Amino acid sequence: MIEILNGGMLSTIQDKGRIGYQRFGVPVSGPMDWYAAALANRLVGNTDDAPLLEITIIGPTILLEDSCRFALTGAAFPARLDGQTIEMNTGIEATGGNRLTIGNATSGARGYLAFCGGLVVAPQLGSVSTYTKARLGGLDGTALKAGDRIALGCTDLSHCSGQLYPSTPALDYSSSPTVRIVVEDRTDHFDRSAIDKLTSSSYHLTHASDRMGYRLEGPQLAYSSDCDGNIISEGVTLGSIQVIDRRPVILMADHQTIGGYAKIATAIRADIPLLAQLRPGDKVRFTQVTTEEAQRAYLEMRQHLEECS
Amino acid sequence: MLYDKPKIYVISDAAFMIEVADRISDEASEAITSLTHLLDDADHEAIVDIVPSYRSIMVEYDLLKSDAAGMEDELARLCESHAQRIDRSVRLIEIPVCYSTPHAPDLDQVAVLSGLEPQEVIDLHSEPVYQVSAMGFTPGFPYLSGLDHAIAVPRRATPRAAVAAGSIGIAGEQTGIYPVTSPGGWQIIGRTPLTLFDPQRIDPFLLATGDTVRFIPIDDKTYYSMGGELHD
Repeated sequence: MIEILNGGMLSTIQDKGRIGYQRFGVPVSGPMDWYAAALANRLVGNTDDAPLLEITIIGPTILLEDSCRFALTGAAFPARLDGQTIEMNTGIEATGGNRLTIGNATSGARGYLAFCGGLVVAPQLGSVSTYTKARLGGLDGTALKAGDRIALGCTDLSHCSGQLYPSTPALDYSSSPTVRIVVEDRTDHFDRSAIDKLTSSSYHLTHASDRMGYRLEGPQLAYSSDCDGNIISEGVTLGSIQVIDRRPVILMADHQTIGGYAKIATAIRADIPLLAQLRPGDKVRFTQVTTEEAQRAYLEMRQHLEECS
Repeated sequence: MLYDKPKIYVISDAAFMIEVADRISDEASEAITSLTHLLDDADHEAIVDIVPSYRSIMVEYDLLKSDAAGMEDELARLCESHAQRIDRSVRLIEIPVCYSTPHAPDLDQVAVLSGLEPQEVIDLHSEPVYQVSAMGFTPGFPYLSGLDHAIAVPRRATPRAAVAAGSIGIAGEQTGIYPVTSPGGWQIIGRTPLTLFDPQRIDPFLLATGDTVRFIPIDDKTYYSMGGELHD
């Protein structure tokens, strides 16, 4: 078991997410940074989607009651095991009865703490991912708090696998990244000039940004002459960039399933991890790529994961 | 109007939109329902999830199992086969509704806005067979189309911080049911004792897109005898 001594800012249990329930209005959820989550799991010999912790800006303090192997990835979090500084992006062994203290991220926003064997939590609608707005998943549908205890899938170090040396992540996080987008191949909601504006400007994250989506502030994006900004509600996907009141909103892991705002583009899967590491005030630029380029970038990241284990 | 054949758009590097019509209509809803069934039955290995709504279906796919060109061809082929298909029957689900206080805090306001008596509002609301055109907002929330224009009133100027689970609301040309207690701005005219969403149930959702619904007025006593609650 592990016991949460201090939950930090927002620590939640996540896995692959709720697949197949979007048609009923249930968001997918899952990790904001799919790459760092998969890397953490691989470093401890798990499948990419095993249940793990997503931590946010201010890390938690956790009592590791039993022996276990764990890995911390994602944003730059200082961490100590019984007072000893530990490295990120590697498997680490604990012998039991240890205190894992994760501090405040020095850059980036979200870290992933995976344990060999995964966290053992009962799924709801096929997933343990925490979706706080509808109190689904996790232990009780909420963020972790002091006193919460979670079972581990493996507490026998002789059965642990993965790697005990650091791995180099395939991407460089930044507080001012350029994020690649695919533009919808339907042109009736925006003119080319709006897309040019989006890809030639700098935007910053407002405080109205969370796991559901990021509201950006920056140059306004005009709708085409026959669009008032509203559309007949339709499905939206991870990375969809809606334009609400002429400003972009990027939909993230807990995004709603359908939406009635005009969409101009979608951030590509390969760059969702860059977005996941942004904080309010951080800047972002956009550049347009083809679907083929986007898919190639994604496959390269998957390939890098394969080489990690 | 329904298109001669569905339009397939790229919306991301991992999703397409299949659009069947240029506007909301009964024909569009029927086409969406049968195309949804077809995609479900096809059980294509690369399709991860589908999200049907008023006139379109979003299809998310796995980049490890297909690419944009391959997926677009597959979707076009599936839509083609759809043209010759005869659809299965549509479910009609009856939903008991108590339209009296304290479950109907906005009924009088809807009556005033429509220039009708409250009983006339109830009669008009419980008359049609509605179609579940989309689900969203919160888990299990059905957007029902088919509302009588006479009682199509705008949403409340100020949303409520908490609308009780089971509440029946009106917003513009739509009516809907709040599955879980949540904030909301729809005009509340009644409440059902049925549970629309229960993650512990084998069938967690009472309704699905494509179902049809009729509201059956019930009195207070019946509401409570069916397990209806007074508060949240």
